[in-house]
Amino acid sequence: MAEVVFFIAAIGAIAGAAGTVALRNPFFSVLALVGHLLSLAALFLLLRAEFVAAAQVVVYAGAVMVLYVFVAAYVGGQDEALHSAPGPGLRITSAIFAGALLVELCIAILGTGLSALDGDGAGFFRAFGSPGEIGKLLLTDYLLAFEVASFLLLVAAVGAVILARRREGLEPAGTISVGDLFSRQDDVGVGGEPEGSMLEAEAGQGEVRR
Amino acid sequence: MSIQWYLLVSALVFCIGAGGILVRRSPLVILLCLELMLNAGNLALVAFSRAHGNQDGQIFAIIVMVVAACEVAVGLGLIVAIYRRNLPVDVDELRELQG
Amino acid sequence: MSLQTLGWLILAFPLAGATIIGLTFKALPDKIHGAIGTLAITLAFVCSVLALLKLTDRPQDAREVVAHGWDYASSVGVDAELSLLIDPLSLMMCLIVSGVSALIHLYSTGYMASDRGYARFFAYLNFFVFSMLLLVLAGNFLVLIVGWAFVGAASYLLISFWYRRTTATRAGIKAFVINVVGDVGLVLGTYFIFKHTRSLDFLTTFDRVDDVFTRNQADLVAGCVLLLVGAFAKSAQVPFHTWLPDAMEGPTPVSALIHAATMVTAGVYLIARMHPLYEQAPAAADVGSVIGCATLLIAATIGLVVTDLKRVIAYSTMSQIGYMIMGVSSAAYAAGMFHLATHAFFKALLFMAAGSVISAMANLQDLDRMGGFRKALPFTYGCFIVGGLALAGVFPFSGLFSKDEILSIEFDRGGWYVVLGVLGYLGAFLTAIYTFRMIFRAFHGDPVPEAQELIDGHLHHGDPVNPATGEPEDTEVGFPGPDHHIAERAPGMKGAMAVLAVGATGLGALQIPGVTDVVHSFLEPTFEDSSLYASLEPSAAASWIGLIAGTLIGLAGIALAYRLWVQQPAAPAGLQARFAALHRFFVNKWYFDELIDAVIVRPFAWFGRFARNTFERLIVDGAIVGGTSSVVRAGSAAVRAVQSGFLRAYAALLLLGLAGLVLYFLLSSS
Repeated sequence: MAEVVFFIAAIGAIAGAAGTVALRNPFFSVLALVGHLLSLAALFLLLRAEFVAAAQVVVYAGAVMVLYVFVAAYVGGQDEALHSAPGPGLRITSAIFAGALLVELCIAILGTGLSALDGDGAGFFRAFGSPGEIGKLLLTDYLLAFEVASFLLLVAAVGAVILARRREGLEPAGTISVGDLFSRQDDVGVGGEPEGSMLEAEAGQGEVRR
Repeated sequence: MSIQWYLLVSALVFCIGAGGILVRRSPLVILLCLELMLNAGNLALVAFSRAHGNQDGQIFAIIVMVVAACEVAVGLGLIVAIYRRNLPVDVDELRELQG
Repeated sequence: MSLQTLGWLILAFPLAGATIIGLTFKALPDKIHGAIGTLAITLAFVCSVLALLKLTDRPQDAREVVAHGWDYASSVGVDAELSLLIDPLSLMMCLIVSGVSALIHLYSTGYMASDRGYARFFAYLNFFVFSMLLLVLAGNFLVLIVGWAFVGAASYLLISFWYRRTTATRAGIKAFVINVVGDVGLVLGTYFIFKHTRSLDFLTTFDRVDDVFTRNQADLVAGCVLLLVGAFAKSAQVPFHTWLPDAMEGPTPVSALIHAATMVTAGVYLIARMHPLYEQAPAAADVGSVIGCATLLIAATIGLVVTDLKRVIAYSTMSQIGYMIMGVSSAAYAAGMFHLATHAFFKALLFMAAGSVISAMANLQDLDRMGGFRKALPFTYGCFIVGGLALAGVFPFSGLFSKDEILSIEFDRGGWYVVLGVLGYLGAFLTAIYTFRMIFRAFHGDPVPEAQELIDGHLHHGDPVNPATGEPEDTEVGFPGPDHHIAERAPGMKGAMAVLAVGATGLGALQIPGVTDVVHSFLEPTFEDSSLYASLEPSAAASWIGLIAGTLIGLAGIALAYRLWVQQPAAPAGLQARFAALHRFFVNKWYFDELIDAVIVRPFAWFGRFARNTFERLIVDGAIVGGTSSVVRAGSAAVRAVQSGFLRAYAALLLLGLAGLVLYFLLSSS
């Protein structure tokens, strides 16, 4: 029974991964990733990590993916341009690199050196992976990691807000360059230019900044 | 199921994610592929935790999830900022940090 | 006060004078600087006199005193130390140098009075005196070389004193370059001698010469000839003489001091000091004699035709030093040094008087434009006559005794030296002619406008223009200021010239043959190791015959000059027309300048241009410097290409690295 569930979840995970990479429309990629995450949650359950599975579904597939959906709706709604799709060279190179890595990992996993991987694993007690146990560990052995992680969340939230905020009192959006992200408010002096020459302007600013 | 199967799945997903980063041009999708790699790592962690009978791996996986969430927040904020300034949302075009 | 202390004091006073003047040149008024300079040299002279008294107190065989300062390098096998040698020869030179210098300083206080560079002048002059005293008091080759070089530097500073004049700076550089050639000869000569004697100290070297060298050994002859090169460059002997006439660009006191009395005599002093070496290498000594003789004749012929007042006197200096070099090379040491002393007096006197005339002419030095200054400048005329008679060698002036003693020793040596003696008398004849040519042309005849102005009571002032090139002078730099100073009106000048005139007249009494023998016996302790010194004693009778012959020849020359330039003023022009080619040859100074230019200057200049254009540009700048920098640039460009800005390229590299890492762990664990 467990094997069947495993294979279903595994195929779901791999299919979701493949879909994330291969689908042209970013929105569909997001959906594929959601599927992948849910399959992974099932795998976690099989590994008796209940809390992690629940967290995966609620936090990852729930909150983080919702973020992605929002941003995909705001930004990435268009299909990728075709005129400069990665040439065959890049595809082959990436296939080779990733394939090499895969081969190595498989050798590592399946090779006789890792004998500890054989078998079902150590024994476990009833509350293995339950929220109580996880919580106990988080508040005793891994308290520092817990606190640092929460601090990190705060920092990330504040940073994201600052990065993406709209700033008041500036010229219309078409005249600002990437450099403004890091400059003071009175530093901007570029006149209105179409998007094509934006790169020169930003390149110029970038040179100066360097 | 022996642990090897889970690790195989993890490796496969990891490599698919790595290949995806190299192939896709939209920063949004690249972040998604990055998520794939993180999740593959998570799976490996939980698998090993099960193998050793130790819950440390699961804690690690939770922390990884937290980090992934933070990184997603910041990365998406960047993408939104880029889009707001009418710059092309395309990693091949955004290459000012060059030598 | 011991003799050593006096030796150090003799050096200290001029050095202190130079330093004080140099440091306070803006703080104190000019007159004080002049006083400090003169006082410093006077004190040095006083110390020399005291040292003389102390030295004569000592017994004859203890008159070579070494004053040891400190060691420079005691472990390298080279005994380099700061030491002075105080013996009769060096003291005689000290007396001459400090005495004549003191008088010239006094003269300069009057002559340079309105010059803007007054303080600088006295500082340089004091520095020069210090260098010259260091040279003559040196106790080993090292200090000698140092003093030699300093003297050359001081000469350069003083020749190009009016540094905005292109002629002056060019002359200064020419003098310095030729002096440096001499310096190289001096150092190389020292090396050749040191190689065998293994000592730089004079007394030690002289002791070892006979043991270490055989007669006319190649290294010794080479060393002595190289020392001669140094002596000739410093003393303006052929072929290193071309700088001396050009050095007349400097102010007249400089010409009087450096290029008449002291610096140019350093070569004579050198040969006299190194006499043990030259007696062991007679081949080198003979080279010296021949060159000295050749120089005295060549210079005399050129002096007959040049029209620049100071240059006539310069060529006479060259000629007289030829006599001295010939003398000391032929072992007439005392005679050569005696002639050095008398020459210092009458030559400095002549230059000072010439300075007076040039001031009256508003810095024009052309004999063609001078005439009839007898009434306008009587004192100057008197000094010229005294100096001229001493130079021509007429009884009882000092020049006769010294010059003829050299010639009589030449005759006494016999063999081919007799030829030198005869040529010496020929040179004396020519000397008398050109000396009085100069005097008669400048002072006799009708007064030129400048002289007439002076007779009427005021000095002539011309436009400040360089007479040689016609370019306007920069009076800001202190080219002879608005006031010109003649001896009749400046007491300092008058006093100095008077003292020198007395000396030029009476100094001959020191060495009257058969009567007094002051110089010869005084110098004996220095030359006691010379076999020739004692043996070369012409009899009194022979000497007196020589004196009479010299006087007659001198008077004959004066008479000829009188006839040509006073009685028949048109005759010289006729002579010049008849011997036009010869005249042109002499006027062009025997074409030595052109020869040196063609043989040495042009090849060097070509080589310099080649080095700059080809070697420097292509190899150093191109291959070595450019090559290195372009290699570095190419390397960094190659490395920089990795930073392409493409995110995916970075990701690919990361992945590659990760794969490599995993591979490594895979391999290391299996």
